Amino acid sequence: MWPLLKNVKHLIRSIAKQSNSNKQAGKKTNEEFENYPVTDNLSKRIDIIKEVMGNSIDVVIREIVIGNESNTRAAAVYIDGLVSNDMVHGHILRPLLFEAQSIQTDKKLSPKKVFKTILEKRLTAGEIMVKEKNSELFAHLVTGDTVVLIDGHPSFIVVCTRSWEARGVEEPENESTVRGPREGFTETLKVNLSQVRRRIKTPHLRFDSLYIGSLTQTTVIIAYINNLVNPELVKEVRERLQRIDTDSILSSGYLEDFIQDNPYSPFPQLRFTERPDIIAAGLLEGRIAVMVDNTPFAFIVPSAFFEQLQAADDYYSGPWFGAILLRILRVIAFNIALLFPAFYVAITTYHQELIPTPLMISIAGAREGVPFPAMVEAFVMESTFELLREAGLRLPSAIGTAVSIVGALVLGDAAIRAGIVSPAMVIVVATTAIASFALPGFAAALTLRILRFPLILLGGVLGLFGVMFGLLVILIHLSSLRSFGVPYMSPLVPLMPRDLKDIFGRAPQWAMSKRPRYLRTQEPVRQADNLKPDPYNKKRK
Amino acid sequence: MLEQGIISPRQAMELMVTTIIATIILFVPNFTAREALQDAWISVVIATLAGIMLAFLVTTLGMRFPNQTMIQYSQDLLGKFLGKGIGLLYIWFYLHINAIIIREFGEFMKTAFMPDTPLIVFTVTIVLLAAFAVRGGLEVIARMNEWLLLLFLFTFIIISFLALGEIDLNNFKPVAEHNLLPLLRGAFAPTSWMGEIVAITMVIPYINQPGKSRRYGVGAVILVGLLLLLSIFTSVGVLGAPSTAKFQFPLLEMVRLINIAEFIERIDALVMVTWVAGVYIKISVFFYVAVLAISQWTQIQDYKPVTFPVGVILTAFSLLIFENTVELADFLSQTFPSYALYLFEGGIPLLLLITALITGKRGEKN
Repeated sequence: MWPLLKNVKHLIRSIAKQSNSNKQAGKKTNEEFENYPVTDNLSKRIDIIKEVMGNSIDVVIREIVIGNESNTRAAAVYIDGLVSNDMVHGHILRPLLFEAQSIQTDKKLSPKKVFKTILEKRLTAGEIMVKEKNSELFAHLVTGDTVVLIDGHPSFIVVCTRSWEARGVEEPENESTVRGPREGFTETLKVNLSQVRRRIKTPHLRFDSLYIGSLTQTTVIIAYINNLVNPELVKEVRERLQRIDTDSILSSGYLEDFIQDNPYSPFPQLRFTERPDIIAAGLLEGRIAVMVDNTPFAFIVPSAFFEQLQAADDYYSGPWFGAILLRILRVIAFNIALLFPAFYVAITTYHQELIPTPLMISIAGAREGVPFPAMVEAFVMESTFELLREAGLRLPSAIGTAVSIVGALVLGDAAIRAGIVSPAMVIVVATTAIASFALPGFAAALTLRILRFPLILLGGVLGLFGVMFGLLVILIHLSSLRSFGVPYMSPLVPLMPRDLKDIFGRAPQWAMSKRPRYLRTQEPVRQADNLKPDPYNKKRK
Repeated sequence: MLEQGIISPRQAMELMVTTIIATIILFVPNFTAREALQDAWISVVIATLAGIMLAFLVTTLGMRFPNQTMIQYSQDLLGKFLGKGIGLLYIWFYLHINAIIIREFGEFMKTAFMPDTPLIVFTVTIVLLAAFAVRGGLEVIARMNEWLLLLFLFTFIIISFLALGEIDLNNFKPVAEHNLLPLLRGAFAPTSWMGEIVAITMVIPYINQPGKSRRYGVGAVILVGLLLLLSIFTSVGVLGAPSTAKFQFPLLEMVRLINIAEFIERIDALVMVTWVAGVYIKISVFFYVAVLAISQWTQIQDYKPVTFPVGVILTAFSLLIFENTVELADFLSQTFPSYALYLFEGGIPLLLLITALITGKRGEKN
């Protein structure tokens, strides 16, 4: 009976081990290193390292001898460029070569004793670990730690020496503010984490880490405030991230495709940003931020539609009711960018009676001699504009200006003079373009570009009825879309009147005393209710 | 359960409001004014009172069985054979009424806006759209409706406001010129429209607080009554009773008269856009109810596979059901009210309620 039970136990344990290794994607590949024999012989271990890493020129293996008379051999292994040279020279090699000499002056000590003395009395570096597995050795090596091996002892010492050249903190180019903080995320995860931690000093701020990508071993951080966030949401985010079993994550954009609710939606379901203050604001509302190493872009989930129309400056500058004007302006801009060409095509083709007669006459006059129907004209112009935008996007800024001059001024002017397009259409396309640039979320701009063309087609084929058809399709989609369980159009649909104060405007800070209800946070109250300024002491005690 | 989604009582009320209002304000002013002339508004008041009673009836019945739809509890009440029979009748009713609505929509689009476009274009597109929504489920329809009802009401109230300047109160004189009979006859059509609230009996199990459905159901009818009153008031006030009785779509003719500062004029195409939205919801609701009824009647596990076949039936049905617009209008004003009202909106629910009261049967509460 007993052996059987033991077997079962063993089986269960091995299954658990397997599922663990599957969950932690990436560990799988490192396990191949476990096939190398665990040995305490320094030469053999160095051979293993050389065999695995090949002749890569950035791998440095510094072999040294500890002690004056009875010599113990040792080696420091690190990757040049990932480590701080000051750390390696001053806090590892120097202690090993000079201070450690005093260990073995008189009698021969066991390697264990040497190991212990070095670890406890000699190495002056701050973060030190003792590890045994080969897989851990390589994992630490490639992240920039220095590994110290001592002949005759199976364990090794890992010294944290990570440091590399990185871009400094700069102002985010895509999301600049007038009166807000100017710093943005960089490619270095540690710096980004510190930027968020500096803003939220509660000890409840959590940075849970995951490693995704079997080859890239990219660090992914799930950030949240533990006593605010809905725990179900944290679980959901973690599960969605853990099931990603890929070999590489090079940017946070890779994750978007893997974890969004509806992969076929043109609407952005995550909110990307490179501003630490926006991430902090999201966390403080009870959302979750996901940050990825080597990317300056982090994202916030869940993210509803109207966040695409919010800009950081709405909260930072001007009187609070100024934001109402700006938000309404953005809603209008969104509608113009989506619908204006389609409406123009539909109305000039089918519903001329909608236009006041004098305006109709001038539009018809301008269109006279244009050889194409309005729909074709709209397609040609919109495509040309997209071409110009794409051409100018990745060029150096000096040439970019030249492209826009050639495109907009020369080409546009010539096309009108030649009578190929009407000036009215140029106005429509230009207005649409400006409106789409007025939106703060760059993700929404792409959505609009995707949806604009089918709407023009519908407007040209079925008139206003066609446009309405397209809008209803979009509406069905928006009504069924969710971002991490939150309905995409919250809080407008389903209606949550209390949360509307941050949608079509912004209530003053003293009035926003509750967190958004649709996020189902643990702590809905954000501040006291009676914070309205009361300078003449009417109610103050 | 077939449907996983859950809606709030307010969403259910909004759904019912859109379902009724979408066609009532377009067709009914003409029908009512034909009978009651300048006293059409009195007919609407009578109709609203009758509508409240109908709403009371169907919601009382529905709340006795808060976890079941009418298709299910009619079998509990009347036995398998009769109950299935009644279920079949309602499936027919929902399909028929929807085919009529789709045809109304197509005819309206064709006559009023795009005379050269074949009818089938409008029919197919709207049924396709509604099928998407139905596959999305009740929650999706309810959420879409929150938008569209807002848009609908906003446009309607703006139009009424713009028309205020054109209203001539003399059009309402003399008040109560005729005896009661024409007034009652005028109330007949709007009552049958308000009786469409019977569709709520298919929705009540999916409301998260079914106990509130009576309050909100009655509220829906009252809101519809008020809006219809406004519509009749502006139509008759602006156009006069004889013209209202003559035009097929008095509201549209009224909108065409609006002219502000020589700039905002002929905004009827915009009205059309919002009206399309409203009718679309109405078609989706009856489509959904029919699909749900069919799948419950046949006891299949998922209603989604039924959607597109039913859509094809609806398309064909709506194209074949009438020869032309005159026949449609005739059916709507003459046959439809008594057909719908006596049988489906009043008769059968009353029968079921009385049976339930006598046998004392009621559904489980959760």
